[in-house]
Amino acid sequence: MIDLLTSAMIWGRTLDAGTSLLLVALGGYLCVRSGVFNIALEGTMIFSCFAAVACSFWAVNWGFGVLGAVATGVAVTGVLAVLCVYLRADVLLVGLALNLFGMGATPLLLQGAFDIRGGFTSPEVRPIPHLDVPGIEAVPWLGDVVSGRSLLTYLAWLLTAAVTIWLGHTRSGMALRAAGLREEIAAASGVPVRRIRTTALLVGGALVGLGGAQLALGDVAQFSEGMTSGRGFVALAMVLIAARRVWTLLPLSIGFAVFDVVGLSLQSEGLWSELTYVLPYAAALVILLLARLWSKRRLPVTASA
Amino acid sequence: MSVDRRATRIMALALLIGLGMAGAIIAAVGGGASLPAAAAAFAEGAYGSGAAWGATVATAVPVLLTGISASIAFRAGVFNLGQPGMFVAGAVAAGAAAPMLAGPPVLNVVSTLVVAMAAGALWAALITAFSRLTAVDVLVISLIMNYLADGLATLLTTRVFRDPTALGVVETRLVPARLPLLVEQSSFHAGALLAAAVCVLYWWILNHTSPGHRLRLYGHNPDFAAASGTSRRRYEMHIALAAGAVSGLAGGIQVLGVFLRYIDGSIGGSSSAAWTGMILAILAPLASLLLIPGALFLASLQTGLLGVEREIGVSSRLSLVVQAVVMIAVAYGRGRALRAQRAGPGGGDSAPAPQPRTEGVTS
Repeated sequence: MIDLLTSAMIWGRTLDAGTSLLLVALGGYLCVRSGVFNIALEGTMIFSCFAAVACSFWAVNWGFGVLGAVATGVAVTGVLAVLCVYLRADVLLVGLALNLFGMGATPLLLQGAFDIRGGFTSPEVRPIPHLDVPGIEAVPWLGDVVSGRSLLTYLAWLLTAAVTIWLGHTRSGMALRAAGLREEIAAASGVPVRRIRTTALLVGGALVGLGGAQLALGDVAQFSEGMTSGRGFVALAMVLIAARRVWTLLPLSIGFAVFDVVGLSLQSEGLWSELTYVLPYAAALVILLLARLWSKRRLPVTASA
Repeated sequence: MSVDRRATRIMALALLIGLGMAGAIIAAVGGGASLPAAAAAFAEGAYGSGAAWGATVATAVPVLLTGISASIAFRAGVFNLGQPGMFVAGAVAAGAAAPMLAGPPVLNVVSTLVVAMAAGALWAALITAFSRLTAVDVLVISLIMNYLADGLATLLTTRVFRDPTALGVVETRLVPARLPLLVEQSSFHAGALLAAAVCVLYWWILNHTSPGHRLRLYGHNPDFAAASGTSRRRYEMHIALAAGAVSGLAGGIQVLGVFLRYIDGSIGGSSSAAWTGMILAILAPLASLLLIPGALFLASLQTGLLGVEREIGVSSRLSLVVQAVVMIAVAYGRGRALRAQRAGPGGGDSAPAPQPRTEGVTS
């Protein structure tokens, strides 16, 4: 077990596994922060996973796979934006419906497009390439962990920094936070609330799409029914725990991912293989508890309005 | 009243759109010529024979009970979506307990159902407790814990309660006594009467007793209810226990009336009846007795599409797509009704849409 936890292979795979969670959580963060409680992350993600695999297969090119996933993410949250921002439908119900829609529609799409059930893979589904980072590559242990990761892993780290700067240090970022904080006051002071929320949702949808692409094409390039297995909801919990500190999504995603990866390696350690289905969710609850204790200590709880 | 009528119109329109979409998907997969055959297969699968009716009723039973469970929580303004987990908890507990509990058949069935209800209530209490400890909204925690429930069910059935003589399939031992079949050669079992009785009881409690009055009051204005002496923490825990017990009962009935053992993967996952139950609670928010025809309708959608799957080969997951479309229409209608309510008095008696607490992020 100790060997397992100190092996560079486990931690390297953890960074890649955390990437899809991180991207989806970043996307969800933008939505929630702009004032739209988007619970459709899970459904958006499964559609993106399917699009990633289908586009990568048809074009025999991973770039088109990623593009397809991003376009799908934008399209699904676009539906949510039209319904909830412009037609003012109940956002929780629309989110729940889109999740059910994803659960029901992706098996049908799989059947319609590939005439197959359960899952799809092919040598023509091209995975996202992994990059070696010159310099770090040669460092023992660290090189094996940090170098050779999926392209999207490095992109996700850059995007975390970009979102942090956008929200914290730009006018449009401030307007986005204002729209989420007090809609009426923001609108009264000239913030175009609807337009800002739509932008936040569409950019968020693109990030969720990237997360779906990483899940489907980041490691073994394949699609299977229900492959998101609750990651969209875990990402939503991460958004709530991160609260005002968006950068904490990065350590949180790694914290969640390590249990995914360790869970998959348990069988080789001679432990019950069924723990694979329990550990990630049990760990998620424990991490949420710890994060709560930690934030209680750092930020004294104030009476909420 | 006008809001009610408008909501009904929107729902009818949504249903037409949903069915139209289903038709389009079937035509896309099976070819346009397959549509009449698909319609016939649908009618045959849902209502075509005694056996088809039996299957529809048996499918409706867990939908109705998990629907009541979700309705209890929604009425109180708690957006708890943990019904699939409570349902699985009840089923595993029933599958594990029934072979261990001795006694004559009637006593065995009753005590097994009580164990299932307790397990469902325990799971709901855990959801509430974790939501409080982590200060993360119950909506999010309950959805994550649905996956945890499925995982724990697989773990417990494989490692602890597995029938040692079962080869290949992961399942518990055969139950010693089952809920009797009401119509021979069909799947119409006594659980249907039990579920209908629970629904009538729910309606009666809600409309004719003081606990029911309190539930409606709490849902409409928790602050007022709290000010008049209802402890929020304790009351929301009571709501969770009641909702969990009803979903757990649904799990117990599935084991004792349909599968006769707990078979791993038969109850949870994305095809869980509890998702349909949740949709039922959202579609029929006002009149609790309407839950019964509503459950039968949603069940016939499933058995009908299973008939289509057998004939044309289009996956019956199509029913989730139709339900999602209907739900989006309800979300639209609900949003409009809420605005009408805010704009002026008499805007309608729609059940309040609970909003998640996101103070941490938005304040």
